[in-house]
Amino acid sequence: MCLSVPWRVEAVGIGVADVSHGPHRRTVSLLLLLDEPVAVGDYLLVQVGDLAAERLSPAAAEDALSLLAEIDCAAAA
Amino acid sequence: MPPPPEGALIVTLTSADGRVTAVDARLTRPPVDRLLVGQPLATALARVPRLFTVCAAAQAAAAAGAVEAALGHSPDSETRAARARAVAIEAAENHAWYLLVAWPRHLGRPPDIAGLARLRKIARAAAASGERADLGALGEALRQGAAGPEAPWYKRGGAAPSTPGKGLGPLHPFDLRREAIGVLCGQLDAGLLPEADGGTVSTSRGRLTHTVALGADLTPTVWHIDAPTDRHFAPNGPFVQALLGQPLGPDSRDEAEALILAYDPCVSWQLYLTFLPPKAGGMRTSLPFAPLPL
Repeated sequence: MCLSVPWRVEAVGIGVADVSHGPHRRTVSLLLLLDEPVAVGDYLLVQVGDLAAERLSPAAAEDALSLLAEIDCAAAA
Repeated sequence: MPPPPEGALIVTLTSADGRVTAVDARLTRPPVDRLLVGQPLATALARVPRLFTVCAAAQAAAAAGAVEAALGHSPDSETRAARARAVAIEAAENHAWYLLVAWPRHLGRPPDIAGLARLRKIARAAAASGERADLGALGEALRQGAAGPEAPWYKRGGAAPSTPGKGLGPLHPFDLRREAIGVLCGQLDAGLLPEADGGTVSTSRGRLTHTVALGADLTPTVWHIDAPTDRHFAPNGPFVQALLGQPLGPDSRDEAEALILAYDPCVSWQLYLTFLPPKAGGMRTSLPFAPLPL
């Protein structure tokens, strides 16, 4: 099950980006996004292997984050 | 540090006298079912594809099929066909990801991003039109990807998939995937795509099943998701069975990593090797290895 987790772009380098989700940090490859521009504050979906697979719209990112927050609440309950 | 939000797989192999004596595969998952149980049916069904973007079509089709089975309903033929098409196209894309990106990177070679982009474009066209010719073009593109020299079965002397409809007899995950790709290519060629069996659909990693039970007010009281990664890395599952008793030494890291990747877990993973001294009660040496830089 590849759970959809939006990762926030914290910094952009050449072909890579530093992203975060809560306390987690990772550097992901932007190869698959081809020429799609990526900027700090964007949200990315990251597949296994630290490859960004998709840049999310703000609405989609917010939606996914709210679902994940519900999961966190359920796990903590 | 909490585990990664999407879950993780931690594999520990214990070796004594040069053989694997124990395999511990621990899979952590967020409690996704809690977002579905107790929700209005429409809300739960809408949440599934939003939770699993990479395999959204398969998850949505399995969820819908499971709910319909619980309700005793059967979708019309048009709905069944549309779901089957979406699931097959998604499976083709995910197979291509494995063949063109994940496996080459395991070999330390650059992923074929252009090839993947081409196949995705064909997949989008097939999804939009639903025409048999477009599905056939996707099948051909996938067949070409599977025939490339980087395909994992070439490492084992196998041939590219060509004969659809054969049973999934061989147990090695490479063989299973090669057969599955061959079957899928044939189905795309023919435009005859397998429909869901209740809450069960075929994905690139294997069978995915949703099981749903409904209460008197039709809200879900049970929502169980049985995903391929859960089965592959279960305590007595094929990954564990494949390794138990096998020769293992300090130089076996690549083979163990390759086997994990062959089973293609859908979460990030880490591998640890522990070597026990010949006599019980001695010191242990634990050698952690970093996860694959896919």
